[in-house]
Amino acid sequence: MVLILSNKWDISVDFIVRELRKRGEKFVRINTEDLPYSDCSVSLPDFSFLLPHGEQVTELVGNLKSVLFRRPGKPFEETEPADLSSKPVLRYSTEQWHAFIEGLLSINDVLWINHPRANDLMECKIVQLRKAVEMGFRIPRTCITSSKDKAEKFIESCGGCVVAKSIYSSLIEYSDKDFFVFTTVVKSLKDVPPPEFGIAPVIFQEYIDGGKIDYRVTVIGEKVYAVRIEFTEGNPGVVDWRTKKDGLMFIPCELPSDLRKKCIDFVSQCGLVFGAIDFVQVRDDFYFLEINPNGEWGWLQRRANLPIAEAITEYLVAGNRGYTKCMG
Amino acid sequence: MNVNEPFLFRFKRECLSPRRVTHDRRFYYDEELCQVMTVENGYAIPVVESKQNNGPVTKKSDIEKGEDQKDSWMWR
Repeated sequence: MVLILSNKWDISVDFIVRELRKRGEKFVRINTEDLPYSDCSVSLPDFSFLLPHGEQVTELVGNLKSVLFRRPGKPFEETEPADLSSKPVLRYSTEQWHAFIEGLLSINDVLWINHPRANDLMECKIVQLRKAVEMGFRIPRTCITSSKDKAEKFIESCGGCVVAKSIYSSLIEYSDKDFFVFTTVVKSLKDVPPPEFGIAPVIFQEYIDGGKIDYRVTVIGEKVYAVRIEFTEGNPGVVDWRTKKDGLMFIPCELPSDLRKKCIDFVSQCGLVFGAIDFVQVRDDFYFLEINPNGEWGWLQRRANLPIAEAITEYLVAGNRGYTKCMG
Repeated sequence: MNVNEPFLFRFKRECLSPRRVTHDRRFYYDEELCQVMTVENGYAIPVVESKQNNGPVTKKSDIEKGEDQKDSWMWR
């Protein structure tokens, strides 16, 4: 049986549901924001892990072969703010349910896409970049610092122009609005108070320009789906293509075979089955920018007709033994 | 010197998508089918089958850290 741990509004998962159903594969989708309204239980020493879904309850021990672990919802996420408990209660509830779900890791011989621990680790950009260098990828020169002095020297060494981005989540949540920090060009730190870097360290990287082309490479096991990101009206010199809300094309393409192989090995070495990697190409050189262990891909399935859901489903259905065999 | 915000906050942009819950009544989650549904020509269909270009704008504030609604490109 395949278990999906996600949330109701992750539409990418709906493509997987469609595939599993097409193949007649038994699956259970648990939207974890609903767990507080369910009766779950684990029994020991005779191990039993019961998860309810709808009117049914499923025993996972002995039946589970794979888990799609993708953006699980937080308890009470859909509850209206006025009906919510206090923050300490919410935090407590979230942590306890998180630990409960982690208990699934104790069920043996299960394929996780992706394993939660590997997901967490590979969200860290320092870990990603270090691993990328180890694996032989070319990366932009990088300085991650909480020192204004160090940052200024790095900018100078890069000819007075770098990009800055966050080391972890770029999402900023206020009580009434959310904000996001995209990759931004920085030329000078004059007038920036040094303590701003002490509050949170920043990634500075050399600015890769010179007619760069962006790529998104989605890797699932040994399957690789690459798209080149092009602008309908030439290259407008956009630093971060995500800031463009219109006029983008996603063109499926083949990577050079050595790069393709390296992507497969990289995702595997990161302990992941799924990974969405961003590259930029300048002339013949591909620069690794980052990997998103939970990257979105529904847009590629729909816009570029890439069979990503099919590939993920294939691995889910094959389970741990099938995956291990496939990856040698 | 009193500094309240980190350097990168100077470049923050307001998110365009809803926060945690979608209140768009054109879309709903079907517990039986385990998919988000919409109604087209009087029939309920999974939204991934919809040919329309105005799909749901899904929530942003989840555990995934750094993707800015790329899936909204499904509907453009």
